[in-house]
Amino acid sequence: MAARVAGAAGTLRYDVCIIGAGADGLTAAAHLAARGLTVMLIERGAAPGGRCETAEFTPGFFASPFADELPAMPAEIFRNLDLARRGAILAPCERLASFVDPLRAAVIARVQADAAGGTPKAGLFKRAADEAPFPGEALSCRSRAELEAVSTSATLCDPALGGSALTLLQGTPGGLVVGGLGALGKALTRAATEAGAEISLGVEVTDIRQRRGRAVAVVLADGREFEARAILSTLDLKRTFLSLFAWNELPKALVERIGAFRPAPGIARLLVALSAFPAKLDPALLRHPIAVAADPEHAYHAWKSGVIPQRPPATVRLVSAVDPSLAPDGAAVATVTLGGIAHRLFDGPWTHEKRSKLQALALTFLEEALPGTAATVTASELLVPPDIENRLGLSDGDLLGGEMSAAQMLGFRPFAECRGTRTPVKGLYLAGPSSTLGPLATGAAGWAAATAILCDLKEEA
Amino acid sequence: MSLLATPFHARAVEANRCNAWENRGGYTLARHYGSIAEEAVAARFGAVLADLSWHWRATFSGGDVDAFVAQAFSRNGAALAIGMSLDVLWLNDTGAVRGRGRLVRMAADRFLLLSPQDDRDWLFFAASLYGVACSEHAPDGLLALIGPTARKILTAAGLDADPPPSGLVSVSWRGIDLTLSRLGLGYELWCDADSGLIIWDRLVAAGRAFALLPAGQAALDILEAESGLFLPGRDFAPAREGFAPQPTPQALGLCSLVDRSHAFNGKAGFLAAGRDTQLSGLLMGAETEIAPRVLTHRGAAIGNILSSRYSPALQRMIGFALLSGSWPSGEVEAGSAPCRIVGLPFLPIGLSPAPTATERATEGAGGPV
Repeated sequence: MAARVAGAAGTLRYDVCIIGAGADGLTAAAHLAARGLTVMLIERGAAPGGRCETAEFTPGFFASPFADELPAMPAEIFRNLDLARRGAILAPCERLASFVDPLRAAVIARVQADAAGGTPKAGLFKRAADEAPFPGEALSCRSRAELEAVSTSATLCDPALGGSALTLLQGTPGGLVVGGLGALGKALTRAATEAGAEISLGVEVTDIRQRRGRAVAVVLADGREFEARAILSTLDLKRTFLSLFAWNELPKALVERIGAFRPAPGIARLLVALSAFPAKLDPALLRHPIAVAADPEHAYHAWKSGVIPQRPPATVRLVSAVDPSLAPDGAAVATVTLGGIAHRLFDGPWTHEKRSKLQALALTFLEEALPGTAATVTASELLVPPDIENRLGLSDGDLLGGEMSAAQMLGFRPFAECRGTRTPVKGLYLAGPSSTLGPLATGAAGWAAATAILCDLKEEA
Repeated sequence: MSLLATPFHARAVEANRCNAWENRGGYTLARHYGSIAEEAVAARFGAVLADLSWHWRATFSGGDVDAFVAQAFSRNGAALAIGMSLDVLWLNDTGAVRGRGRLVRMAADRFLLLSPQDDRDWLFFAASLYGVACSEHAPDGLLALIGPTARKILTAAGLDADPPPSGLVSVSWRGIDLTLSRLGLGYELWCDADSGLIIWDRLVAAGRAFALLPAGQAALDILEAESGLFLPGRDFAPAREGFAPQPTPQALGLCSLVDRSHAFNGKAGFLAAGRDTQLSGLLMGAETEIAPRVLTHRGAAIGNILSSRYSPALQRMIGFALLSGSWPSGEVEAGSAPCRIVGLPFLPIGLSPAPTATERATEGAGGPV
């Protein structure tokens, strides 16, 4: 592995700097470092992993705060990083094969092939007339209601809207992880550090420096600067371009496009500690997520209007029924995930009263799904989109990284000039939730970005 | 001949949503109750309950039993303390492996052999030469409880006795006499046939809060393979004739189960059998099972693949391989499928409880700068 070297002004120089040590960043770091590149990961949080976190929300009770499960990681990546032997054991998800599974796999393969194909020579980011359409583009003119009788997902869309079928491409749950998602984060961290990547924690990137139109360095909040031949951002689109560049450094049209990128309906999560395991309920039922009957169309419009929906799509899960290590003996941990929760309410910020109202709604759903459990609740923690934004640094607390609509999916995600992993700024790559593969699979965007970086650095050499 | 039912069969019928059965050792057993993958991985989250009653169990007692076990098995069972056990092979007269099992000293003059495959005629005849009485435990129940919450389930069920690793204890559990052991992947409960259903019910009731699932034989095979257990009848075919020359312990990579300083039947053949081979694990790139075949490295044969199966925890095919030399670095090939050689076990199963909050908080998370 090449040693990191000091630059002209005493700055450290790496082959690749990765902003954000979430699943995509760690996957990319492991892939790049294993191929001999010097890699620096910069994470603003105190620990790597991003949303791969297990938190003790009340003494003795643990849960993954942002999601019980992430979209499934492609098996090839899981195997290549040897994640099981590094501590990430995932419960298999029992589900029927869907017609979107091969479509999703084809999209991942297409982005990976584009990444490995090098920078397009003729007309950067312009689609050639004879270029094959993106797999799954046919979904852009279908509604979700046409294709799915009953939605069991907390991901909200207007099911009657044309193009809403694209939300079906969202990655299927990858399964609970022993010890919560934090174990997956630790396994990915081990894969990256054992391959030779370095991680800088607790410090935020404030700027991306450009030289002759190329991203060449990142500046940290503590004043350090790392030069790099390639920079990979795993932040969302807006945070990458609107907060790490001065507005006058980017073409106005590009800034406007990014500003117009629409967030997806947010989610809220209630983490609940139960004093007793609901032993009287059917054990087979308790092991799986329970969807609560919802009114998604109304909830979608409520989200658009900035009000708390009355019947948002919701999923209740007794996570400790599968992983008892999350709760003390005899007790239990449940989570309630509510879709269609606005980041900004029409009548002002999320006050204590509004949080209490949402919490009461979530507890109602918990009681509906698991009768008798509401009386055993001893503690709970509610996370609404602004909390997610504060903790993960995601714009609008949007875990999906942008609405999955026809105008910003597949070949148009985040926008046509930025599809795949390469961006209009030379030397800068995008692999966060806003990237093409962000909502489709865990780690796939990081893997594709690493492939693109390897290919481009080889071409430049 | 019709198949036999184990003492837990009635509960297996209730739990077997898939109605998937198989014959092992002449018994009807659930192949899987629901999802094989879910059952195999449940042993890493909580615990699984598996019926092992089909395992062959034979008791040797009286006569010159110490001399018999010293001569019959590849490690000196006569040196065992009461309640302790050894993983042993027994060989034929030319040094080929006839079987593999666990030998337990139950009392000063009584031994128990537990094996997935019986060798009744051979061992009982040999025992008779030493005046040793032999009996089988065919109708008794043997239930395995495997996983990190196994100990908690036993405690919640009121069974506080904890045998040492490779040991066993006899206990009275709310009116039922049983033996609790740690001879395999987890705990085993040995009971008479009449108590089987009561024991099953007690464990299931206590295990509800500890993610307990019944697991079929398919999941058990996966767990044993992931734990590196290389067993007769499943992973290799033992010699069944008195003078068959193969497979020797060397050919199976099982020389670690042979005590060369000890005199045992077939030792001369064993010592003359030549070089050791190494039993190792294979992480395979193939998506489907690979039949036994030659393993190559850059075109040169380096060993053989013996068996393979899918591991849901590792999300890939795994297999056992016998290597004739040292491990080559990098990838090897099984036909056109790339493989990587690794040590065994692939993924051990923990019996310890899940980490506490403090352990979670202090566990290393990589190497931050």
